[in-house]
Amino acid sequence: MDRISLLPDDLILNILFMVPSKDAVTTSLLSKRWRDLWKHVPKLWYTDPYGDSEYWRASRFVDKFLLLHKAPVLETLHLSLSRNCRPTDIEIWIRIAVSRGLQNLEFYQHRPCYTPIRLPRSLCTCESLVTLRLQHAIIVDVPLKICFRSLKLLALIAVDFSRDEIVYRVLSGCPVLEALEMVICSYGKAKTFTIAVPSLQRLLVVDTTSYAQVPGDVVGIVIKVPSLKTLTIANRLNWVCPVVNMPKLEKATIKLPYGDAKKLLGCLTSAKHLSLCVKNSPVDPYRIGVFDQLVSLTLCACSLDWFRLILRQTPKLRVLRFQLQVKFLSFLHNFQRCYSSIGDVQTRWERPSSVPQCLISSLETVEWIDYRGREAERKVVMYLLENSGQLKTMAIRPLNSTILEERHKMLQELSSTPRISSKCRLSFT
Amino acid sequence: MSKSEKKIVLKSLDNEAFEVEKAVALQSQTIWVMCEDKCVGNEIPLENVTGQILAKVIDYCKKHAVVDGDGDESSEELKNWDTEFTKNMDQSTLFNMILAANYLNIKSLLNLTCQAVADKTKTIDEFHTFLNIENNFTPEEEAQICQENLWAFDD
Repeated sequence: MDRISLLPDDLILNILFMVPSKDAVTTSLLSKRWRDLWKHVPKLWYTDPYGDSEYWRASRFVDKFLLLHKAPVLETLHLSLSRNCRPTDIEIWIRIAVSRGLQNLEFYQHRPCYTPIRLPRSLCTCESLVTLRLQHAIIVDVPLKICFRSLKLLALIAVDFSRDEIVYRVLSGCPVLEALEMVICSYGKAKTFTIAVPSLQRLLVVDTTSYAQVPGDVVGIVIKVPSLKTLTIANRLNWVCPVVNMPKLEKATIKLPYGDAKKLLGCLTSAKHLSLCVKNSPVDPYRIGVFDQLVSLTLCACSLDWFRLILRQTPKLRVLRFQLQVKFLSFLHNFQRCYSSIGDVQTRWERPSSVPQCLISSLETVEWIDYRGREAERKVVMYLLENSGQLKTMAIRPLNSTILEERHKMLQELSSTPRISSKCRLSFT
Repeated sequence: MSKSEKKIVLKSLDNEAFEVEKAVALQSQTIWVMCEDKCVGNEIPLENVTGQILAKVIDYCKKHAVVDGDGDESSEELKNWDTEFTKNMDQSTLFNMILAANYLNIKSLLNLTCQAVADKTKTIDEFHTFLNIENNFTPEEEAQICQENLWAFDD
């Protein structure tokens, strides 16, 4: 039975909303009822096919679509272009979409042809815009009077700016912005990003440039985001400087293998969940403050030096996890691995002079993913088994490449270690 | 709040009763409005949804009510759960789920089920077979539409 024809038009439009516009137009061939349905889908989603398609195809598609489109609003404009599009064309499309009540704009350009785009004036004052995602674009200029009155999510992926000031100007025009994602792939002219957004709740800054490209210590970000709940900062940035405390912070993922994290950590003390990959060891643990809300802590194996010091500052810790990589973004696999921990970095381990509070009263779960059984790692696991009074689970997952014989040895050694907690179960998988 | 107030009973078209936590059921805007309206007691009749479909809707709402709090990786886990949830649904179940999600006004479930239909119908042939749509064009009409929409078809 043709069940889909029983659905009212608005539900069919909902289904067509999920497919690229090319496929939606194709449904005009299905039957008489479907002939004009695509014209009422409030979305234009065009992805240039890779290969030899010439620019005029994209241009013709978008022009024709906008001409024939009949929905009262164009909620979403999603353009993914692989050819050099004329900036004037792009500006016209965006302008038309803005005049039709645009709420979501996604604009991607594939390598190698980036066209610098000038954000059209009408977009910069667009009242209906809720999400804006730009990828591989160069923003050379924005009007002085920029205001995204309704903008909640802003994603700038590999977007270059002609000056530091433009970043600041765009951000200060977003009075209700909740989420900001910035993936920096190269440093054009801008070197210091200042992120000062009082309404911001989620912030992600990932820097994927190679180390050699970064000249000296000039690259970094200043963050002034008092309402932040989730913070993810990763990779090559040399410094991150928070200038306000973030009392509402719940989750922070920090991966700064080359940078200075001390200053940053001091502002993260309200976090409930913390992931750290920070190689440089702290000199004075007391200066990083007490993490009195912290429930779960994930440490990269390269940061073992931190472990002993930070454990003193986490009186309520329940879950402790060690892993070689800190996961933060599913689409950026390459940048998640911690290379410094794969090599033979010798991390030291010294027994604390007294047992930290969380081991006595709160720590229930310890997980070690990609366990290699090195001396420092063994000593940490043994120490935790011997001293964690409330421990329920110690889960060890050896590195995949560990040979069977080695696994036996690891298991034998760990299972013969005395456990202070009678409830503690050792799992080895 | 007493224990009985925390639970409500949802009754399907075919008179099957489901007792669920209020927090689970209130993800449906329709039920939320009904609960606000004090005339309705503890039992809510849902005249457009069969028991078989309602059970699935409740599964979905339970999953999406629970995962909160321990923010760690939960969103990814939830996404995987969603994919599994719709993966093996047949055409008829999917459409009934769309209708139910629409009637109960659960936006995320509506999007999920519409996405699932869209994923299963990537080509025009898949549309015809999966959706069972009969082509009622004359060859001339079909040729005309092809011509009109050539800009979208050729590459």
